[in-house]
Parts: sequence; C-alpha cells; structure tokens
Amino acid sequence: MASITKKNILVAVLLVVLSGAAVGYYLYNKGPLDVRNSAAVNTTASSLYDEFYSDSTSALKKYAGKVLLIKGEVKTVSVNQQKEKIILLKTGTEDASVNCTMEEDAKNITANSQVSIKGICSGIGQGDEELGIRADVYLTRCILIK
Amino acid sequence: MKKRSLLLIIPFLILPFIFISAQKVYTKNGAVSFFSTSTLENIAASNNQVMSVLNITTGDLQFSVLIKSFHFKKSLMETHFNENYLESDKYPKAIFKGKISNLPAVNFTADGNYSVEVSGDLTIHGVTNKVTTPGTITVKAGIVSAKADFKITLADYKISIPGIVKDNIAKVIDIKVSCVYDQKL
Repeated sequence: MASITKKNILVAVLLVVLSGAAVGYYLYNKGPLDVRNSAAVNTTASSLYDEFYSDSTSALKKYAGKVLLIKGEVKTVSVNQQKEKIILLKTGTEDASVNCTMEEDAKNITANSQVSIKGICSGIGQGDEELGIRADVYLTRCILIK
Repeated sequence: MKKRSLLLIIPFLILPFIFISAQKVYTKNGAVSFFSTSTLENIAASNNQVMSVLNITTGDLQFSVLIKSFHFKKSLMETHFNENYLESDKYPKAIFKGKISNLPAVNFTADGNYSVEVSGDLTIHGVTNKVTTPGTITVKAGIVSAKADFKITLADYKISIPGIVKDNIAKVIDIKVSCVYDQKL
C-alpha cells in the first residue's frame, strides 16, 4: 500500500516537472507579438503627439510597448536602409510626425491620404530645441488597417 | 578688364556660404543593430528609429536611440531586454554625444568614403562612459552618411545578466550604427 502511494507521488512530481518544462520551453521559444490580432488602444496622430509633447513621462507609461491603432493623414512615404516603408503621419505640430516603420509593404499609400495604422509604440524620440528639430513619436512593426 | 576678373571671383566668394548654409544634417530614421555572440546562442536585434544630427563644420555628432524600438525573434528576449537588462521604462533612450576627431580628413564637397575617428560620451542604461571608435563618412551625390561600430562591455553600463542565462549572452556586445542624413538644416 505504502509503495503505491509513493509511486503515485513520484508520478505526480514527474508530471509537474514535465509540464513545467513544457511551459518553460513554450515561453522560451514564443515568437514575437502578433500585432494584427492584438487588442489596440485607439487614438489619432495629433492627440498622441500632443500627449507625448505635453507630458512624455505619463504618455510613456500609457503607450510605450503597447499596440496602438492610429488614425491620421499621411505626410510622406519613404524607405529606410532596410527597405522598409516609413510612413509619417501629420500631427498638429509642423515638422513633428508620428513615425511608423511598416512591417508589411504599404502599397498605394500617398501623401495626404487618410489611414489607420496599427503598431507598437516605442515612445518619443530626441528633439533638439536649439536646432529646432522636433522629436517624432515612433511606432514599429506597423500594419495598414485601411 | 579688372572689373571682369572681379566678377569672376564672385562665385568663389559665394560658394563657401552655400555650403555653410547646410552645415547641419540630420535623420530621424537611422539604423542601429547589435549582436551578442556566445557558444549557446546568437542574439541580434535592430532598430530603424535612430535620431541623429551631424554638424559638418564642427564635426559634432549625436544620436539617440529608443530602447523600446528594438524587436527580437523571441518575445521573452524582448521582455527580459526591456524589463531586466535595459530597464527601458526607467531609461527609455540610449544617447551618444561626441565629435569626429579628425574632421579635416573628410571632404564634404567631394564624393567618397572617409575613415574617421569618433569619440564622445555614450549613455546606456543611465550610465555614461567615454568611448572612441572608428567610423566611416560617405558622401554621395551631396548626401552624407555615417557608419560606426561600438564594442561595449555590459558591466561598464551596469547591465547585469542573471546567472541562469549568463552563458547565453556575450559580455561584450557589438553595436553598429548607420545613418543616412537625408534632412538638412
């Protein structure tokens, strides 16, 4: 009788260890966040920028690392060194944009069109007051929703 | 005759001012990547959201990197990188402020690749260290680009890696910065 209980305990311990290892292995190898199927915080390019500009600390807490769905008007479309598309969305401030690095190719997007872009917010960049360079608010791994 | 030769001189007098008018170039989408090579695992991450300003008359160079712009193949790596190693909520940016020390070696008006030496203060994880590193300035059709490699020791920036993953992460990380200065001031 005692040996059966001992055996049961051993099996139970082994099961716990194995499932722990399986969960650990799964978490260790888990791929990057699925932006398309993640819940997003809705906002506009102008209000996002204004929040970062007026209080970057609280905006960072609220938005950095989170998936956002941003509505805005396209300022420019360009390509970075990795051949990824960069879409700049206009804000209420001249020379400051919401700077979106696209994960998918955004075809047929031209300046002045209205778009909704989903991506992960990295925060506000570094500006230079002396030189008059305004910082951008950055989004990465972006996809075009419409 | 004298008047004519004076007229000929005028363009040469104006020319330097044309270049001086664009003495600062910048980009908001420069690239930075880093590599950690160890026997157990190679880790790489890149970021194309580097803000950088180069003053071509003084050689002053600065760049700023948002830590949260780095993305990894494995989401757990990204979490550890942000929360445990770089503490990106507390220290959202890495910043370099320095100078090209051999600026006369670069001719910004002629196409070519120029080897330079960059030195200055590199701030990562809230810790600032003096660094000196080789770089390249490229001038092509009036567009200036810069590349530089930094080798940084994690311990110098008080980035501590826990024992369990110590062998997965290199103690010295290779950081490459590459900026195309497409904007002028």
